[in-house]
Amino acid sequence: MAEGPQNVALSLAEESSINEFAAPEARFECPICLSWLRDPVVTSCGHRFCRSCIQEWLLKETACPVDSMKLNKDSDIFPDNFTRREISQQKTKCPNIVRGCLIELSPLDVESHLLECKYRIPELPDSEKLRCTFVHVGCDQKFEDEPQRQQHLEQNIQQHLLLLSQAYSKFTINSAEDNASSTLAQANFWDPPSKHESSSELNQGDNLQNLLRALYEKIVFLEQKSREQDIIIANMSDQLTNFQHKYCNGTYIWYFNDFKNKIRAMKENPRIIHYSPGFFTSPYGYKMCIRINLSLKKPDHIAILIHVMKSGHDNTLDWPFTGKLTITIVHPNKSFKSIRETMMTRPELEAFKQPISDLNPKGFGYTEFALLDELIDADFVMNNQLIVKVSAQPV
Amino acid sequence: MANIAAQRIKREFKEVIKSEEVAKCAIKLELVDNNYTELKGEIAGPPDTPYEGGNFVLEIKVPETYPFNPPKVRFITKIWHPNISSVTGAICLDILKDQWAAAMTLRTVLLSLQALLSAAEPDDPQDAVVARQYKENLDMFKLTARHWTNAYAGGPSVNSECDDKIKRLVDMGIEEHQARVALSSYNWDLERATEQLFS
Repeated sequence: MAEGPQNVALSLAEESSINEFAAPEARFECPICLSWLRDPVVTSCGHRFCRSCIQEWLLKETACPVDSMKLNKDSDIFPDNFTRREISQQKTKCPNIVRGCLIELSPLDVESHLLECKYRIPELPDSEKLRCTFVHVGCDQKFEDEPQRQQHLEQNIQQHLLLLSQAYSKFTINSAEDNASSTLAQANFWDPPSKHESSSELNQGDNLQNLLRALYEKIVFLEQKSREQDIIIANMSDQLTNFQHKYCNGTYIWYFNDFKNKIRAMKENPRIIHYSPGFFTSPYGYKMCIRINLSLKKPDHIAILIHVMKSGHDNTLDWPFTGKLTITIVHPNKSFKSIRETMMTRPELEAFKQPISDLNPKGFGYTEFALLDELIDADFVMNNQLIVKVSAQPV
Repeated sequence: MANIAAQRIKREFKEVIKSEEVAKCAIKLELVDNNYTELKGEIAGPPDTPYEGGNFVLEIKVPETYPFNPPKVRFITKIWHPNISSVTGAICLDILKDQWAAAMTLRTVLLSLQALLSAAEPDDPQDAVVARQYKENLDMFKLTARHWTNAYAGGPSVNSECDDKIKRLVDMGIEEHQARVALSSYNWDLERATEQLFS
């Protein structure tokens, strides 16, 4: 006997949970409040709404919320008594049927009935509410009664699985830490003995956690720091090269690396041009760079030219640049073989005027400085590198 | 909150949860607070767009006058789109403004936003910079949008050239997002972006 009524209650619980969440049929639903039509009206464009819903909408708007047809709030709204009658014939059971309320009522009245239904769930204090069975893995939901809890369990299977798997992974980490705690015990040997032996044992887990956290924070901090240092070093080495170029007093040596590949590429595409980094005739002097490419007219010749570049203090200098320019292709071990050409600037040339863009597009030098084959035959190229030295002395 | 707003959101929430779009992972909706005034939406970037593969999170605030006034929606996930501010995530979409109708729901709003990602309207822009790029250099726009999708929305397409340029600016001490905005705004011209950042 004791079991009988309980079974009935459970099967009813399922039924009622379906009832409770079944939205009204589309023809009885107001598109604005999505509830049962209350005092239904129909528009001239054929849509049904609760009277109060559509009235409120038409206070500000002038079109149907469903199809945007123009609506006049006085002449386009009509009572829909047919639907009103249909709805009034609908009967639904009180959701509290599980607790014994057998009343049948119109769906419109369910809400007001629920407030006064004597079978409604008494408001329980928080401590007496039912906890979710997954409370130990972190589900904080509380329920008034068993059917509610049952429903929660059915609807949240995925979430509970997720909580379980999280709890499981934590558990495995913890057991790994247990193994580690013996190592920690050894590590504690060099610590002075604790005054309260028992409490330290209790706190060992905490200690380990704290130690790990502190170490982790330290690692993050150090990584951050090392990254910052890397950036500083990179900036400084950049600056250092800049200084080298600035304080070379007009004599710059360009190590033209990867010679063979670059020559091959230039032969394939004669438009490839290589520029050296900019260098200065004196710390606040003229900035220039060396340019190497293959002569357009005679592609077996190498062209070496000098271009004047824009720098921050150009306005303090005299223009056009006048002085002596010396270009040398340095022989790596027999200095007497080096090819040297000295030229004086010519003030009428565009190449020596104050540059407007980063680089004066006109250069000065020799478009046929040397024959490529001769350079290679005479061993100018060592370690796949050609050494070009330029000296620029203003007068 | 007015009773009708809360009750409607409750029903809409259930409608979205059961919808087939959620089953296909195209849209998602979560409650942020228990009184149904704030929700978190998520839409998947539509296929065959630069947003493909990305997931875009939205902030949805429900006004007390809902559904007589539209919900306030903005992108939380940063996105490169002519009708969405790359700074605030504010959206320019008619149904969230004057074309709102009470019969629309959060589900239709999310689907409309997804449609907006497939079909931008550069003539009604929210972000003038993005819109100009869209009109003047569509390929550059697609590249940038794809890169943002990768950087912020978990999109699959990595563009190492963009990443390198950003890294160059980051190495100069610029914050990553700021670097990305500057480069995106100047068609990934490193020199002009640098100029703008340091001027």
